[in-house]
Amino acid sequence: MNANNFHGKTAAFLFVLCAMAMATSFANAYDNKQENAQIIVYNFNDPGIGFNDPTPATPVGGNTGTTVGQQRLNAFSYAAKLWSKQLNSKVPITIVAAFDPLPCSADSAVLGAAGANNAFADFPKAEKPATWYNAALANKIAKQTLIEPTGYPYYDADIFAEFNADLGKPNCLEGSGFYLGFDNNHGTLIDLVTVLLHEFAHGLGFQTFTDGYTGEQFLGMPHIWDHFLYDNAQKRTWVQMTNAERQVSSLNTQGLVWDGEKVTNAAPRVLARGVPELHTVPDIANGAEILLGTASFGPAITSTGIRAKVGQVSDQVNGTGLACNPLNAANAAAIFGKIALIDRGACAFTVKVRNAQNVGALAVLVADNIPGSPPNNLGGLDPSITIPAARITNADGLSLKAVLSTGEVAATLAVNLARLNGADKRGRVFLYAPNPFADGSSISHYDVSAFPNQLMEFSINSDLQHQVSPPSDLTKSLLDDTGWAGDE
Amino acid sequence: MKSQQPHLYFRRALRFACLVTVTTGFFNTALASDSEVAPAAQVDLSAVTVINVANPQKMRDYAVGQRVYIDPDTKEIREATLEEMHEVAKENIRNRESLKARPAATLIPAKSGARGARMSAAYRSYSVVTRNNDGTLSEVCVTGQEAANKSLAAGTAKSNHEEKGATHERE
Repeated sequence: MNANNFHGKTAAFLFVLCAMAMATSFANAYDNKQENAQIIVYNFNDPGIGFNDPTPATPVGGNTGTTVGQQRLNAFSYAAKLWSKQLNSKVPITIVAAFDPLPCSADSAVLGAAGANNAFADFPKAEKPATWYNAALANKIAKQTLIEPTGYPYYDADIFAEFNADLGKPNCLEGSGFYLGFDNNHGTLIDLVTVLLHEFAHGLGFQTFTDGYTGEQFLGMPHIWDHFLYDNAQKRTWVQMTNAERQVSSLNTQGLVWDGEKVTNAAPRVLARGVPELHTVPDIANGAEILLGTASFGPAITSTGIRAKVGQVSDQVNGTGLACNPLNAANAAAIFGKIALIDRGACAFTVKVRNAQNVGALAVLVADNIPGSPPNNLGGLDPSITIPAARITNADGLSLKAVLSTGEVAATLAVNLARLNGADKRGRVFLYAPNPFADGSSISHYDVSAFPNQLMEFSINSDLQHQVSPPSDLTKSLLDDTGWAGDE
Repeated sequence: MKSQQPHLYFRRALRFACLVTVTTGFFNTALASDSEVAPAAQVDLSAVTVINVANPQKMRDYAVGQRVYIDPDTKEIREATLEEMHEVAKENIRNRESLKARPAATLIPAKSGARGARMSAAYRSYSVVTRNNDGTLSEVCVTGQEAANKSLAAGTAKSNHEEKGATHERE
């Protein structure tokens, strides 16, 4: 081989490698420019407390701080960093933050509070007129800091965040403090990073200022969120509704969806398929979906499912059927080879289902004994149970009984493999709209039917993995729909 | 040879740039791939700036109730007097005792013709945790101090993760 030729080829190869590396670097730099929003955290604690607590601490889970205060600040910064990697904004996002004593008792505690400190409407480049946006998002869209500064971060910051400095101490959920590591290895402790990610999301815009309980808009204008809140029953968005209509909509369990392109497109990559459904002939729900709570015992409901007539147990003087004791011959005959309808109350769900199973029922529907929706799941454990069971609402139970009193009902209990857990039949993700209204939890969270669990459900689950975007989570997708997706 | 020097300089410069680029690119890639699940021992927090606020307690007291004091002569924002701070502190206690008096948000001036509002605590999200009978913890998120106190008093936090979606067939 000719040495010069070799060197020439080597040089050419190195040049190409170098060019590729430079292109990669520029691309990374461009990506970083696009993706990284600067976050400024104002430490609002006095010396010696909160973020400045000098109590020695052992580094844990990647958090190298050697004092409690340093570790808190590191965890705070770590969560902020995770969000900064997801967001693009030319305007720094400012957070006023502190660890302070917050209300708590031996068995419960306020972990923290956070949210938008300021909001803006009708700013330059706002997509929707006469609409409130959280300050951080408004600044990002307007490409400028919109507040007339007072000079005091407490007023001027975009987000307020305060967390409980006493957590884990005597009389404040003693022994169950914050886990300050970054690796999510929290065990029985409360993972601070997860809580922070959730609360920061509210502050960034994962919330509406419209009051779901009264239907009233904040200072007479909708929040950007309301443009995407779509009610499947009323067939309109919250901005198209009156206060009274929004009140009704806020109770439309698994009927209030997020109608945003980013979330709907990402949902199939995030949510698992396979939703248990109950269909009846005649249709006891008049076209609405019969919501189900699943059982923690017995076999899973399958896609093949069970198709059978419904038989009602009636073993009480008032006509209800509790099935807490072995069933008599009449009740046994009523549910043999059928899907048994049993009322909730007086004994464990497993006892009811086992008694129905013992006389030849194919499956069990437990009708709730108090109004409310969605139906909770059926708890309990009994390895001897071999038939599936599900829970229906009190209202659906009454409808079913009404039809059964005059004729027969055929039912199919099966998993619909085409549907996403936590979304409607068109793939739009449910917002949390329980009935009765859950003050403070309704509307500004994803519905609890979402599976795998989502960061922005009202109940913060311990299996969350510090993810905010697909393929694990839909939080960022929703923020993108509201305006965070725009390029810089 | 001299005629080749600019070329050599260029090649040296290119080699250096390449080295820097490769190193930077690798570093950037390493940072970009810094898993959210399993962080490295040294976690890059460069996108986050922490500013320690001087005399925060004074500002906090001053800020309670989110009010501004304007000097009548200079029209500038001024610090609250001790008497004013005490009055605000007392008012804050009264508000905590009567949480139904949820303060509405305050309209604030904004740039570029925008409309602005400052949010009260009624619009903040509160995380509340409750210890269950079996010793496990349940965390819920509610909006507003009033809802948080209700959850705290009732211990109504309920977990759902162990039950939901875990008992039926999925793809």
